[in-house]
Amino acid sequence: MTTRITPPQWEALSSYLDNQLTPKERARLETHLKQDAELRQALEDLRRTRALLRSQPRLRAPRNFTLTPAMAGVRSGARRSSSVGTYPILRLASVLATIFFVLVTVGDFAVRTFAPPPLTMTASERAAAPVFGMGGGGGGGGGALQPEMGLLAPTEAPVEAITGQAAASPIPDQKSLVVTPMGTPEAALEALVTPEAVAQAKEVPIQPADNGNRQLENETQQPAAQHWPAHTVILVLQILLIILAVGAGLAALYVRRAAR
Amino acid sequence: MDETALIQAALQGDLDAFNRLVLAYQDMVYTQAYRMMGEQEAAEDASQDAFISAYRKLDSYRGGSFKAWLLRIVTNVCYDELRRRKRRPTTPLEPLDNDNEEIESPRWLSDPGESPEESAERSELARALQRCLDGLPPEFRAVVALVDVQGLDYTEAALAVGAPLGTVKSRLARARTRMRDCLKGVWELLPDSLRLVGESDT
Repeated sequence: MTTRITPPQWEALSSYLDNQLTPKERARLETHLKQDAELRQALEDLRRTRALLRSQPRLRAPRNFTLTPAMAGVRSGARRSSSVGTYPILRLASVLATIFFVLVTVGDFAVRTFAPPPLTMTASERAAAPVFGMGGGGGGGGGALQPEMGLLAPTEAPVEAITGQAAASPIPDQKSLVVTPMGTPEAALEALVTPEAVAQAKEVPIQPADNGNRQLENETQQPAAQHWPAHTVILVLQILLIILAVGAGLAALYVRRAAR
Repeated sequence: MDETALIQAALQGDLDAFNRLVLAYQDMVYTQAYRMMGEQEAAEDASQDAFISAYRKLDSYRGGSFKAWLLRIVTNVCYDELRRRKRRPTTPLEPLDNDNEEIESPRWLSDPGESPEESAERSELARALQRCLDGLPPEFRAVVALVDVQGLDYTEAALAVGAPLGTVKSRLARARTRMRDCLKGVWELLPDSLRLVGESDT
């Protein structure tokens, strides 16, 4: 029964019911309807189907679907609450670790590249410690262990003054510096013990310049051996920082994905 | 406040304004969801999801028929859910009560103005109708629900399903034809009033 009616005809019938045919299409279909009883029956069936569908009342919503503020921001809120705790912290940790890693690496590289006698720095750093030790009443055990440093400190010699060059050509007002190298452990201890260490140091007879030079050279050699642990420390620091940076970054990524 | 003003207010983050739109359109949205999903619980979930989604992407509404825009959202939510179910099929088609017994006359189908006989006939017809709708491919079901249940015109329906007008026409024709075949057995249940409506509706 339905086999003879083609899909385009069904479509025409359906559109005809909705008054969606052009006048030309409509006229053609009406001509066919007059001639074809089966087409008329099909139209009647469709009309009833359509009427039945249209007779269905609109359903009443069984409850209100109004949104609560939580619903309005449900996803972003949930994501925010879970990420407030971990995600930003992990992200910050990763960023900070990266920044510190870069600083340490660049700093280490710069020190090695631009400070050919990196020991100068070490020497001056170590000189600094006794300065405070002496000022505090000579309590610095470190100063005592490195007598020549202990002697250097009271003179408040500038960093450059410790370089071999400065020692090689002593200038009158650098007397105290030149004096320093000759200082024996005993002299250093004496300096530590007596508050007048500075005055005494100045009174010590001036030694030949080459002597002082040698002393300084000795001094510069000495910390060189101790410099390696510092490098190891930096290396370990770098490794720790990069692990922290990558670890925190991956954790942050995981937290974010889990929150989604 | 009119619809445009409410939409504008909702865009500014006024949830109360949006909720007034929800109250105005929730029956329409729920009806579409029910016709698409065939059962109350899934229809409720789809309706709620549709309104949440509508609120979130309200800024993508570019004027025109807000009704069609909302219907498009709920229809898409239903498509997604139906696709998800196709991968993991489970749900019953008939409304069930707490003891998993089929509900003879669901609350939302009963009309207090009808006699019990009319009510029973009507609910049987309604069930048959929904069963036939459930048997249609979702794309056909969506169009027939939009045009014949919601009363959208072809242009609005095309907007709501995101398809060209020609596609809407052919889907509607095929959906009605299949509904006609499916409903053959229940014609005698049609009330006289409906037959009259059908005949005068040319």
